[in-house]
Parts: sequence; C-alpha cells; structure tokens
Amino acid sequence: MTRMSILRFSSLIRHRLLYDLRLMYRGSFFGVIWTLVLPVSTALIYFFVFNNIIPRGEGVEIDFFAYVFSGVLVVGLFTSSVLFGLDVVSHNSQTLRSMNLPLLVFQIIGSLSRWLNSLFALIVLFLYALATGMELHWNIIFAPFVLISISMLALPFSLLLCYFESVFKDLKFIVPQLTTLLIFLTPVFYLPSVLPDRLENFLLFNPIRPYLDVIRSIFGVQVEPVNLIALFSWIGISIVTTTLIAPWLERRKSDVVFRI
Amino acid sequence: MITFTNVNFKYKASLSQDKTFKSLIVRPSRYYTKSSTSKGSVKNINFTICKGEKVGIVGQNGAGKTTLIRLIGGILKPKTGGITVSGTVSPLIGLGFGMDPNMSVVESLKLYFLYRGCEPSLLNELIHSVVERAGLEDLSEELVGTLSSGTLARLHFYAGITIKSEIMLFDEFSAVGDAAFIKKSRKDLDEFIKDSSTLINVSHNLDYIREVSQRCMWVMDGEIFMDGVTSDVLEKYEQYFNG
Repeated sequence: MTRMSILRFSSLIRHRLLYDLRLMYRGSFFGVIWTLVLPVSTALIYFFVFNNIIPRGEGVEIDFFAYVFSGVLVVGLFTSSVLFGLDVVSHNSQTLRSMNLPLLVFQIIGSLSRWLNSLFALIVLFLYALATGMELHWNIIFAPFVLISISMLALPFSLLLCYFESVFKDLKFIVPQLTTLLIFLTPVFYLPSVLPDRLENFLLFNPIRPYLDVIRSIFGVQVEPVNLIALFSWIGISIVTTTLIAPWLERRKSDVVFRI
Repeated sequence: MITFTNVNFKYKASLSQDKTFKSLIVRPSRYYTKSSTSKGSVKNINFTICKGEKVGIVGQNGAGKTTLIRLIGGILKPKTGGITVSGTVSPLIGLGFGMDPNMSVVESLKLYFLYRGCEPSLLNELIHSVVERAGLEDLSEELVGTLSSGTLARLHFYAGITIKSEIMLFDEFSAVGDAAFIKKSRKDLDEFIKDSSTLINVSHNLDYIREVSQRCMWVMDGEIFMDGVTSDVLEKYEQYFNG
C-alpha cells in the first residue's frame, strides 16, 4: 500500500468522515451539537467527582480535574482507535465484498473519526483552562498533533486486530478486557507516585504514557519530566510498524473479508 | 485484456468455527482439520479474455462464478497463479452494494461514486443522472432505508450503470422494477452493454447470457468445464441439467 494509493482516496476519506459524524447524531434533538455537549457533560461529571467526592491526596498541587480529563482523553482515544480494528470488516463488509478497496482506507477513516471526537474534548479542556486561569503556553498548538500521533500509535494495533479477529473470534471479548487493564495501568486517575516500585518499571514500556505526559505538560498538570526519547521512539515504531503491517494485511485481505 | 494463469483460490474458514473449545471436546478429529473450505473455490483456472469480448459465465450455485468475478475485479487475491488485467474494472456484484440505510439517496450515491473512484467534481452530475433515470426526483432526500425494495433496486441498478469502465463485471446484475420499468431499464442496460468494451456477465438467466455474450464459460466445481461459443456451451449446459 503506497502513500500515493492512499492519497487517491482522500476525497472518500473526507466525505465518509463528515457523513459518519452526521450519521452518529442523526435523529437526535441536539444533532451535531452532541459532539461538544458529550465532552462537556463528561467533564462536569469528573469535575464534580474529583472536586467533591474523591480526595486529591496530601500535597497535590495540580488541577486534578484537568489531570484526570486529559488522561481520559488520551487513553480513550488510544483504546477506541485500537478497538475499531475489531469492527472494521463487519461494519464495511458489504462494500469490501463488492469493491476493490484497501482495508487501510477504512482503518484511517475510523482513526480520524475518533481523532475528530477527541479534538472536541480537547476544546473543552482548553476552555476549562481559560476559564480557570491556568497558565497556557504557545506549545498548546501542538496538542492536536500529539492526538493524531496517538491515533497513529493505535493504527498498527488496530490493523493486527483486524486480521487476528477474523482468525480467532474470541478476541472481541478478550481485547476490551486488556484495554481496561491498560487504562488502570496508566496513571489516568492516580499520580504515578502512588504505584509500587515494581509497577513503575512497567510504565516505562507503556506506549501511551509519553503521549499522556506531553498533553499534561501542555496544560501544566504534568508532575514528572516528559520522557521525550520514549515519545519519539514510539512515534518511530508506530510509523515503521504501520508501513510494514498495512501491506501485509492487504495481501491477506481475501482471508480477512471472506473468511467463511 | 484479462489473463488467468494456473489460478487457484480457496476460501478460509474461521478458526473459531472449526476449532472451538466445544469441537475439541466433542469432535477432536474435526478440530485438527484444515481451516479452509472448498465451497466457491476455484482451481487451476487458465483463460484469456481479449479486449471487446462479451463473455457469459454459467454454473451451479457454489461452483465458483462469483469468485472468478471477484478475482478479476481484484477483490480477491489468488493463492497461487497469476492474473493480469489491463484496463479499468468495475465489478457490479448483485444489487446490494454498500449503501447505508441511514443515509439519504443523494448522500449514498455520493459515497458510492467516491468508493468507485470518481472525481469529486463529477459527483453532482452523476447523482443527477441516476436520480433522473431511476425516477427518484421526489425521493432524493429520503433515507435509503425507507425506500421500498423495488425503488432500492432501481437506485442500485442505475448507480451501477452510470459509470463506464473498460472492463465491466456483472454478477446477477439485471433489469429491475415493475413490468413497465423493466422494459425501460432493460433498454438502458442493453445500451450500456452495447457501449461497453469488455463485459463479463455471471447469470442464471440463460436467455440473457445467450443474448449478450458471444462466448460462454461453464464453471463446475471450481474448474472451467467448458469454454466456447455461447450457443454450444449453453446447449451442453442445458442437456446436462435436463438429463
């Protein structure tokens, strides 16, 4: 799958993204407004819980709402993009069975759709930062690019799931459990310092951690220095593995789409 | 031109279907069988279709006709052997290709033409042509899912024959609608076929194959059992089934 052949489908990807966004909320009273209302209502729940119910802990100086919301945003984007690989064939089976279209196109549509939704959540976080007088730096303009690199990180996982789910259907029950485990092994709802030493080493190999740290440092709620080597390593790994896995999957498309 | 050289294809069965925990306990022998199925498979296929030929493909259900069409269209990749296809290809497989019931007729058509690789600048013209020819002017903003099956068939039919490619692949693609509309759509289909360069047509309607194809292939159990002039092949084919 060359870069050129994917660019050939850019109009399709753009239109399909817009339609998916419209279709998601079609028939509802608020329509597309839900794209903003949903992250706001989620934010309100977190705000209430982490300011009124769950204690912040001794000596925690950071804005815990922004800390948790950014964590949910990053981990949510990663897990939903990975899990999309389980559904990509079943959601597009009729089209894939009657037209010669690359599987990667549908994967990219799914990833971009989730990235768009995460942008709306990012806007909510940005508005919260403005409203509460948080100190924002010019590097906030990089936030959407960090989110797109999280989608890129999820892509090779999603492509692999797309293949292996067709071989071993039980994965659709196993993988969501693993992503739930990943959420709790990532410092989303807690500070990394509360983890026992033996688990701290795991965090070094947690692919989402450096991305999460960057987003949090942009909003000034990062408690530890960002591991930039890990970040750029994972960006490199995600690009290389996607470049390798996409053509591998394309060669096996017949087995994936038409497995009886 | 289309060339098949020793092409083999076999569908794979889902591992979970063959190799479940239950089958390991109840029927261990089945658990260790290969995860592939012969239904719809093709084996050792060799043929050449020249530019401008109109070829019919006949055979029983599960013989491998649709598999052949999908292999030509690039939807399936052969396990072994080589396929060479020169020219743009449009596979029209059945009358139910990827239109979302939650989209309006216009939205669905827009997406459908983008799937088929049309230029975005041509979309409005193409959509207008389909809506007009299918007689759907009053229904263009309706959701596809609310259309009657007859209207939906008309929509699919005209969407299918609005763009021409150098190689057209029809799989059970035929005129649709009520008696009056069948006449109109048949006329449009005939014109479309007449103007098409290369046509490969899979159908169980032998009269239709006889009418539009000069050459016919009879596929049996995944192999080309007979390939020749349409009248000769269909005569043998009918004799075979009528005893």
